[in-house]
Amino acid sequence: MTKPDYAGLCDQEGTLKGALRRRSILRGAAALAVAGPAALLDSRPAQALTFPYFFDFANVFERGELFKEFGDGVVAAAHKVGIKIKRYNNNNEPELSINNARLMIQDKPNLILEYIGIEGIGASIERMVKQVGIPMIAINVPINGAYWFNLVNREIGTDTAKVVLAVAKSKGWTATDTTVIIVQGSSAGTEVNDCVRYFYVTVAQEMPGMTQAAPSSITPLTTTIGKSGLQVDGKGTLTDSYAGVKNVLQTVPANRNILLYTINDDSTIGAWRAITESQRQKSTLVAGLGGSVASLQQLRTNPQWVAEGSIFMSDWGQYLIAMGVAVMHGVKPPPLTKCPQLILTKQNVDKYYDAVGKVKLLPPLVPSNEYLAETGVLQQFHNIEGLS
Amino acid sequence: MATTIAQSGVPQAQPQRKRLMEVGVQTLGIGMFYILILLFFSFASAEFFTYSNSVNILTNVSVIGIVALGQALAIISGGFDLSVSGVVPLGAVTFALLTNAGLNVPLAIIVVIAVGGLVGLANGLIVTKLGINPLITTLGTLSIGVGTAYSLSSGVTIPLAHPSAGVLANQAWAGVSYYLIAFIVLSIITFLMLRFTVFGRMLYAVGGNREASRLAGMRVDLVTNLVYIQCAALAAFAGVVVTSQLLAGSATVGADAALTSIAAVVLGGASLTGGVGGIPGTLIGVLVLGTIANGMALLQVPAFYQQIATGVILLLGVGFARLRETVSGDRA
Repeated sequence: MTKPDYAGLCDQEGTLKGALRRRSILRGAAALAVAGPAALLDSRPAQALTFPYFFDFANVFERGELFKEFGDGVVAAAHKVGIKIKRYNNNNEPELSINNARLMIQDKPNLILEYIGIEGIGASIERMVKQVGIPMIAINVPINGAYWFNLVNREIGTDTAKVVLAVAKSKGWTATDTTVIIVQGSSAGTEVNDCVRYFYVTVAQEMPGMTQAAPSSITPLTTTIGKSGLQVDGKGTLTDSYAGVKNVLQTVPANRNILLYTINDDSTIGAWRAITESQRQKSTLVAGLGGSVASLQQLRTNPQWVAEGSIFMSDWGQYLIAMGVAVMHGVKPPPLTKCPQLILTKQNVDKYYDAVGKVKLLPPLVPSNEYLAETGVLQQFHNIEGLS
Repeated sequence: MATTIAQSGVPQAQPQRKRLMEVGVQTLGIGMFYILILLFFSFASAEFFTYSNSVNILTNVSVIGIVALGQALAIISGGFDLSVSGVVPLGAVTFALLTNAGLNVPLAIIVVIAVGGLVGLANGLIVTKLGINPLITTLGTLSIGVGTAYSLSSGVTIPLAHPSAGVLANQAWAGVSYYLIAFIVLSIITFLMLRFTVFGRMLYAVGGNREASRLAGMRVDLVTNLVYIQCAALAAFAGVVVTSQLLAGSATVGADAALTSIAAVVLGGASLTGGVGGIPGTLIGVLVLGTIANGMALLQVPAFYQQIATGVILLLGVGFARLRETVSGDRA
């Protein structure tokens, strides 16, 4: 299939010629895709690309370090390539998310970037957006009919477990003296909670003697996993995770080692605080997920904090904008466009993050994401390993 | 409620002895209910009736307990304060920011309490001078408080730059934290104030019959303002406590402080119409809620069922106390 010529639509200054409407752009792109040589793309510097589109963007939250930075990153990335963007806050409320969807449809954007926090309202949004034919990218939580951008929680959980296990085994910890505590956020849905689920499953598989469990058997209602595991519902927040773990620690004998993992950094910080307040830090290994400033500091300074799943959320914006540009040019993305994700350890954290917790390098693109590089958008940020 | 004017000129909702007996009966009712809960969990879970778990329960209820002390004052005086759900996060974030900026802990605590007091003063003035009812007033200040907390923190969790700033969470003795000691001290002070001071009696009078109290020459507006100031100041201090617990200030904390504290106060025997209630009952109400959460966590009851159970037990608890009150009233 001939690739779209993203640069062929630009004049010498790199701006799209005239005030092209979306359909004109698509027709033009299709025509150039047939006639335009690849040399047109090669001859233009990546920095020259700008796209006069209008995107609407609804963020799940505008609070909490992760989500605030993510939202800011999306807007900054859009502005960098000349895309007009309007920002909404779903505040993780179903009714507000639906209202925002209506407002976004009223805006008549070229594309919608939608981040809902609660699985289950997607069908309602899908129905509204489908009626008007606006393409949509669903972020994190899938929406039927929308292109999907997400971390692969299962991989994050599995990879994190391997790092943590290596450290636990080096300390001589075994299934007979170790308990796994996972902290879920039940309302976030199955996909998001896959990370903690597969964390336990991987630990159990690699540590003989642990109660084995199929991922599907660990549900939001699960509180114990045999004699080896405990699940707490931290609701993804600092205080609920703190309170939940504080209570459940009473059931874990003082001489047990603990492997602790949650669905996000706020949860991990709250849960870890419960551990330290109970004076159990020396017999606990913890891994975070999110790459927040506070957690990176823990990774660097706390000997018990041995891994940090980073999904580079603050830099999702450039991937989403590239994805949006690709969609606008008629590209059909794969079923899942993976976000950049990596398990940071004490050995590699400095390669990807600076001392104050800002991303300085993103991991290489996975093969299925090469189509994003072809838009030329990612190159404008100069921060992806192996992509110039 | 019928009002009598005592010889001192201070109107009393009812003879003090009778009121105290009523409060005592209510407290006894909820107290017995709490004992039943303790017995149940003691038998159901081997880890429940241990020293460390007892300290754990007290630690867990400290924050909401401090908020409930202030809420009790508000409810007894005939109002209630929803803004605590905004003042707790505001206090938490402000404390984190101040200590991270280098302010010493005692001064930071004073500043935070003063900020809370100002919010309370605003509540009181709006209720007394503008005549807006407490529900709308405190709902408005709740929203302002939460929004301010988010604005100050830019929506992110603020770790304490120096863990020593969380000194209240340090353990003073045998696993007991300083903030737990502070909670106990505040409870005693509030109890003594309500029970033995003129202000306390005025509070009950205003709650019992505001108009009669005003006609009797009592400065009801001043009493109301002082109540809201104390309530919000305590909520701000609760924010300091939660930041010390978590070693981080966040605008997300305390979201359920208003409803939980009201539930605890009502569970403890207070009436939403005012004039009735007390600190011992409030403390038992707080302990009931905290013990239920703790006990069900020890029994590994899924979180969804915990919410159902908490609601059922809340209704049973209030019903039990009311039943006992009715029986005692019949005998009298």
